[in-house]
Amino acid sequence: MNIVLTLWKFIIEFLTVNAKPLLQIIVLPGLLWVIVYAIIAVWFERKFLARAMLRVGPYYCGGRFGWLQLIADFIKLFFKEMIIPRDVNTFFFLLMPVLLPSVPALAVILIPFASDWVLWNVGSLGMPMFFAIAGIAPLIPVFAGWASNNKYTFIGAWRVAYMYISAEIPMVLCAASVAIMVGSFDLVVIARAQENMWFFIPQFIGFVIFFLGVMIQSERTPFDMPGAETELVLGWRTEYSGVLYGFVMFTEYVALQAWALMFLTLYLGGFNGPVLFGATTASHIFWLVIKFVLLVTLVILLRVIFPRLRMDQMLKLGWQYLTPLAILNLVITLALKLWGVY
Amino acid sequence: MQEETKELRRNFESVPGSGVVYNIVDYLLGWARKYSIWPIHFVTGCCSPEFMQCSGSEYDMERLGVLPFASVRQCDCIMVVGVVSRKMALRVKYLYEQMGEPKYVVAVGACPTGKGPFYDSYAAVAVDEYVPVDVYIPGCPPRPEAIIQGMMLLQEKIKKEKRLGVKG
Repeated sequence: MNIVLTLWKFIIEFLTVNAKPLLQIIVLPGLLWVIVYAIIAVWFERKFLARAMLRVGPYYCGGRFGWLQLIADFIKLFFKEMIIPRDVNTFFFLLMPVLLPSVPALAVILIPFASDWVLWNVGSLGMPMFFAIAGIAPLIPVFAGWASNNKYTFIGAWRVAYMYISAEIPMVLCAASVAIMVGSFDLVVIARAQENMWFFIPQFIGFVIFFLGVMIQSERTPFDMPGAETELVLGWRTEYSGVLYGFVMFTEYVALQAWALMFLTLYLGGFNGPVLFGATTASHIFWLVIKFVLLVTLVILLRVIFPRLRMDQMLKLGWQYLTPLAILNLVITLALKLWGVY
Repeated sequence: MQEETKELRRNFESVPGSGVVYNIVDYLLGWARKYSIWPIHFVTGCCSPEFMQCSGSEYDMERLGVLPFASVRQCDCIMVVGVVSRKMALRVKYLYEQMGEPKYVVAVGACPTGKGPFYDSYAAVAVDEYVPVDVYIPGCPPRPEAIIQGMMLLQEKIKKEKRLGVKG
């Protein structure tokens, strides 16, 4: 009995102390989590959409629930002919799908999954670093759309650029208000400060704006003008086929993940939650993942409910409503900070 | 190039156990392609309401893994729905050439199958004069059940086809 306990303690200590960087890179914010999450999310989205439309969704593939559907899709895409059209810029056309998922996946490594579970802890540079990395993201669809040399991809690419800029400015302003309120750019400190009260109560305007920003940045349905099927075939993704399209499809969900995790960390308490069985790190990770799953479900549900906005309506929303509101939010936060309310 | 491929294959086949690997890969590919048909709909006529209902709540073709798509580059299958005129047939051919291998064509309804009610028209053509058709679905218009059965026949066909060029 004693030996078993000692062994158990040794294994736990090995996993949490010695093998921690390796575990972080391979399992949790790293490779395995991103891949497994993307596969499950696509399957879940198809199944959930089908249920909301009173359909069944994927059913026959893999016995029950169609649970092997995405594996089948990926194998098929992998062995499908990859067409490179004659007039494309081959270098950028082939490079961009590879870069696409890696930029949001790079942003995810800055997110604290628990107070001591951050893959790349840059301390007080956390939030600026996240926005700096995320700021690269719109360049990649623009390059991909330009390299495809097709009018639909080109229009789609510019729509991406317009949308990302009009969403990113209010989002950065909202994040800045949170940083002013806490007095730190460190994501761990921000998440820790929400132990008693989650920031969606004192920062309600920022909460709403940032949520809309998450939807815009990950091109979810009320804001999926870059890939509007009725106008632009598939937007900037039109020319990608075979395994390249597999990468592109994967990316939407990785981008959603990065922004959704940032949203949770800023406004919905991050990893905070009741500690279960005395295991602090594990329960922190558990609560963040639970919140994340609920948020992704909500985002998918909104896809069923809303129709697509027009491009000018979206730009009006971004520049005429979200940006002034975000500035107002910033001013209010500054005033309250100066008066010493926070 | 062809000679090199043949040489590679001959070398590979001389390795003991290569047949098993061939069969496993072949089975996996067949399974994946069977359950992941992404059709693009080339709709020119009035069979389209029936075709739309196939993705709707009563019939739901997505149970079989059939996911209608907007862009032809990612698709595996063209559903030709409705009458095809001589001028439009060239567009079907163009669409077929834009699609990546492996590719399939399904003729939905009487018109693309064999001109249907326009049998004496100077303009109507059967679509198999221009592109190879895998499954014909008769009916004017075919019921959604018939279209789903057509997709199931296509699945059977995909499962049986020779993929890696192995004999037996």
